[in-house]
Amino acid sequence: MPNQILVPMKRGERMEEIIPYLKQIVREGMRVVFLIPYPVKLWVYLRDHWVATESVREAVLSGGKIMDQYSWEVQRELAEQKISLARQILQNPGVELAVDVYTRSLRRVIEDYTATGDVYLIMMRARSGLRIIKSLCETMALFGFFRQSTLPPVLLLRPDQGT
Amino acid sequence: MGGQILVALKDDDRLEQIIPYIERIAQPGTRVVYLIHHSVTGDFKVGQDWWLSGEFFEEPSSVQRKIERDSVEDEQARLSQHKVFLAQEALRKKGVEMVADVYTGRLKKVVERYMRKGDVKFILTRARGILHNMGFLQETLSLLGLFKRPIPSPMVLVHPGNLV
Repeated sequence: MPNQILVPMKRGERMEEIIPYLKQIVREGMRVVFLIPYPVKLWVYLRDHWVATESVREAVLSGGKIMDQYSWEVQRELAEQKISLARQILQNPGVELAVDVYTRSLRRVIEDYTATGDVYLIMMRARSGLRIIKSLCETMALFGFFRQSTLPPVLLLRPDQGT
Repeated sequence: MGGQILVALKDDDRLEQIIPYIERIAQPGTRVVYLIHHSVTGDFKVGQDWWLSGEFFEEPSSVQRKIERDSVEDEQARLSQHKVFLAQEALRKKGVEMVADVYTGRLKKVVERYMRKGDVKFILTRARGILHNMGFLQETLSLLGLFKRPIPSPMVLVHPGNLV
């Protein structure tokens, strides 16, 4: 039986918004894979590697920062830090949490995962101005005593949909 | 585990597409409430005509209208129950209770009513008009031959809770 939940996350998305959903859905024996993009875009890369300074020391410092920013290890550590909250809250010995920092397109990454037939669900934040979602969220906020931090909705997708 | 999952259904929603999602998110002990919208357009037309014709002042027509409305609602309820029955078998094994709630007004009002009870875990509904955001996923999955029929929409899940 498929046991992986894929959670594609964009930069700036907060783990706190996804965890309450996972908390209700994840069961023992499951593996949650957070898909986090490696933050490199060509033009940003070129811009960042153009260090213009008159001081050698500053150039070395800037170089060091760039190395950190583009270091695979540093990015993995950052991704691990990002999911550390999920590790704390979803602490269940039967549930495995993993992070996959990817450089290719998300499409390719998901292709690879779904090809194994091991994906239970794909969950990602919904970014749509759908009226029904807005309406439901307003209702939630109303009954959450007008708290501002009502959770944003998520999209669910089954890889075996339609079969 | 307990709690309720509200599933907002529309006329064109096929329950067999939605059930697998419920199977994935419902824990044993959960109560799944299908919110099925009952269109009252026809009934409203009767009422509207009746209002304009001046029969408004004649008492017996209200009884007749009620009988008509009840029979339409009964039929709708029967169809809904049949749909739910088909899906029930798979989920029953998991200890998930399912009920249908046929409503006539606005979905928001119905959800409000359930929210007042305070045990709503999720609201699940089909995502409409959202495919442009999900294009890459749909394309990927269809490329892999996983979609044999027209690609259905993903589902939207709303959690009534707050940030952790």
